Amino acid sequence: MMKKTLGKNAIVDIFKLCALVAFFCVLNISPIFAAHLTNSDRECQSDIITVTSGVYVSVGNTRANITLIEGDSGAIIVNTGDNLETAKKVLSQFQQVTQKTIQAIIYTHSYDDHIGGTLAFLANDRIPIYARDNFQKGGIIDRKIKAINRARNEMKHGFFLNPEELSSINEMWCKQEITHRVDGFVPPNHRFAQERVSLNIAGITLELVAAPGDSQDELYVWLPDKKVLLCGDNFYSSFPSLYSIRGVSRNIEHWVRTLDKILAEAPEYLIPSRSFPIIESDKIQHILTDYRNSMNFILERTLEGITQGLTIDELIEVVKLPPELVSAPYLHEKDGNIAWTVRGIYSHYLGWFDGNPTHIFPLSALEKATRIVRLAGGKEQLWQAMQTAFSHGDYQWTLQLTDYLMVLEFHTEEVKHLRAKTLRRLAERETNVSAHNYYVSSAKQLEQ
Amino acid sequence: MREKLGKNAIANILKLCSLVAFFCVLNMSPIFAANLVNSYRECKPKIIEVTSGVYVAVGNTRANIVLIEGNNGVIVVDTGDSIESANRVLSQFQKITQKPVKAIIYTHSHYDHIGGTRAFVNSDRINIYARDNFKNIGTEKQQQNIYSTRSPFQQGTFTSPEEIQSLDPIWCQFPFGAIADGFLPPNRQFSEETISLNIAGIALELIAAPGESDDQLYVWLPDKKVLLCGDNFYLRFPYLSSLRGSYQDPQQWILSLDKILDIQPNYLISGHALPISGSEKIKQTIYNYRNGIASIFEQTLAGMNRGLTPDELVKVVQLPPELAKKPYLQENFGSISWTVRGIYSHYLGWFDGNPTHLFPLSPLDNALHIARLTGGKEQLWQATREAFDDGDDRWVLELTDYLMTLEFRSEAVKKLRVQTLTKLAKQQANGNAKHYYLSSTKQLE
Repeated sequence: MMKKTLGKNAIVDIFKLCALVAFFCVLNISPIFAAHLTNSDRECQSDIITVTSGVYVSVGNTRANITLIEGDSGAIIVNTGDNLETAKKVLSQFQQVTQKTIQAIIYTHSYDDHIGGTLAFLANDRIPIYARDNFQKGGIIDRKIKAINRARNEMKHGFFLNPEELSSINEMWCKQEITHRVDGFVPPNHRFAQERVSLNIAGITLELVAAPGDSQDELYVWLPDKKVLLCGDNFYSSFPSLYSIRGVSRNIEHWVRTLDKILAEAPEYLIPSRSFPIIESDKIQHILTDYRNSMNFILERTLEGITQGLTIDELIEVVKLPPELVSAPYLHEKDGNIAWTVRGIYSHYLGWFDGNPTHIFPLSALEKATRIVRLAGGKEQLWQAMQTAFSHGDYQWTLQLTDYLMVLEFHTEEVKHLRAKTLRRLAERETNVSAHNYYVSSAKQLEQ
Repeated sequence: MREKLGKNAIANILKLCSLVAFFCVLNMSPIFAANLVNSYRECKPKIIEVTSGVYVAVGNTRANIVLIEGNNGVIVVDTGDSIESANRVLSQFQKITQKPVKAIIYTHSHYDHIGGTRAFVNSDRINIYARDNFKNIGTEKQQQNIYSTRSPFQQGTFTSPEEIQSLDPIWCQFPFGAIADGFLPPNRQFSEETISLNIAGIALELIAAPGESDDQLYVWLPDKKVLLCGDNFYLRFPYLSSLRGSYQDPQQWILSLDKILDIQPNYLISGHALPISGSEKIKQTIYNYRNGIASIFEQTLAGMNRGLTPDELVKVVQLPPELAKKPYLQENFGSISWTVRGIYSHYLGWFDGNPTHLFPLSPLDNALHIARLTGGKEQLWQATREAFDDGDDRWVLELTDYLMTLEFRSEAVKKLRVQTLTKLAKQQANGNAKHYYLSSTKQLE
């Protein structure tokens, strides 16, 4: 196992290495470094990062980071990764840092990649596992639509893709096939309904604070003595996924309020689940303020536009981040997407109807395809148009034309083949992680 | 003027002979209700005595107003859409009784149920009951503004009275005056599931009943076995997902209908229908109504879980044949396809699962591609005219969308679109769609 320290550049790093013992090294991520983080060609690393004295983050092994907090007489684990196998790897890394026994586990929220490897860390079943009382309830998954939610989630995260086809929001993650997901999950046995609970475990003072946003059951962990805050997925390096294409709208007002709470704690170290730790109070204040302002801005601008009577298409044209935010690397549309968010806000407030009388009782897909064929002069001509579009690299239009031809069941196999190719071309140039995985997963379905 | 209703004229005469007028039991068969749907224009404002001491004013205002007479006073449930129409009702009520109004009850906050209060109440000491989540006019400002961009469309406020097709087949479609100009806010709100009251010697219960609106309540008169169900039942397929943009939770509505089945009233008074009498008939009707909602809801969720898109779902989700025939489940107001789309969007948002729709072409890019596919804008215009001549109206709407985006022959295109919308409005049995089509023409003109 290898412990790495991160710095502005190699010289600073070496300097630090000389000046400090490795375990107590202070991490520093400059804005320049953060910008590098968002580059997708960044190499993954299976490491333990020492954030500050007694706080270690394991990155690279699982999609969401696992944190170890070391106290006088024991340790706490925050989040447990994807599955048992990867959690065991992380455990053996941690054991080289400390042999102290694990006395508590905390789930920041109920997503698969945060709760899947718990069994690896449990010496016995008396160890408390903390979570909010609405853990897995009224959260992201509605039981009534479990099947479609799961199917969409698999497409969005690319669970059926090879590691090389797969895109992930966590760039430190060393991509691998995620098998046996959540096979080490153990349900929480200490749940709290309060806004904030204070605990002392193994000599570590910590507060668990309700933090709805990214998920309804989210919490953050605050270590007041160390000024360390573990924010779960309420911050990650991307414009936030406020409408996820798995079919989930996040409550933006809640998320903004939670970010305000985090800002008010004035942390000096911020540990997100899917991005590098951020160090230095000013930097954290700056980034989180931008983050909350960006989502608040998109919400307010969209509602204002709706009130002015703008259509959904007009809204998508005009609702953009202001220039001072658009260049921030942690606001690139890597996971969330602004157009999706605008559509999400619109449909949250106004439902399915976009106000155009054409769409009150639209033609069915078959009725429309039949008429499009007539415009094109026949099925064969439509087929030609599709091939021309593909050869010109007009992939979005190609995709639309394949929809018509598939409904008409014309040259089905060839159309499917070309549609799959088109989806893969779109995926290649797609920087949004969810869209990329969704395109490739859709292509795979057609290729089967 | 008081009128009694029966299966047919003969039955009415028979009843007239055998019963004293005030104690006449109302009877509404499904056949009669079907007639109502077609003949709503021939309505006459009237007062119906449902049972001893319970009177319903129908026809004068968009929603019925109910008078409950006690020993030393009366209760008014809902107050109509405006002072003017409420005054017409008041003068009719005064012929029945001169007893003072002791309380007002709002079944919910829709303006046609709360708009004429000041016609009945001239003292602010009179109790006005409503649930604690009653939406006062002017609250939730942002949401109100958002809805107001569409509300006039669906209500047909832009259209003249003869063009209006109301939710209420028994409303006489008086020209609109002021709307909700007589509203007074409730001053007795309750958060309990049920409260029991005794007003002017009348025992009554107010029961929380979220459904057609979240703030809905039932008024139950246990001694008279009369239930006032507000808008949780009316003579149309329920408006679960509106063009205005609101969505009512089908499960909540179903649970509130189940409450009616539990209560087993002998008389049911809806805000927008003639009263129904006979516990068996009420049970059958409400049971069918709740099953209609449940069927659409369950089919939609099952289809979603199989991966069907909204466009695919609207083709397959239907009422079972025995319910599809029911006159009170016809899509004259709510629409099954809108409900399906509403449920889908409530649970999954805008994305239908088709990767083509992740980043669709802008309307302009799309229109340019369509024009190129057709061989040019002129050819697209020709195709539009042909579609118009063929009566392929919904396709004309799509084609005119493209041409308007391209700003090609704008005036001629607009004219064709207006003609098409007008034609669609004429054919349309759904009141909300009809109003929306007509109002859209007025925007273009």
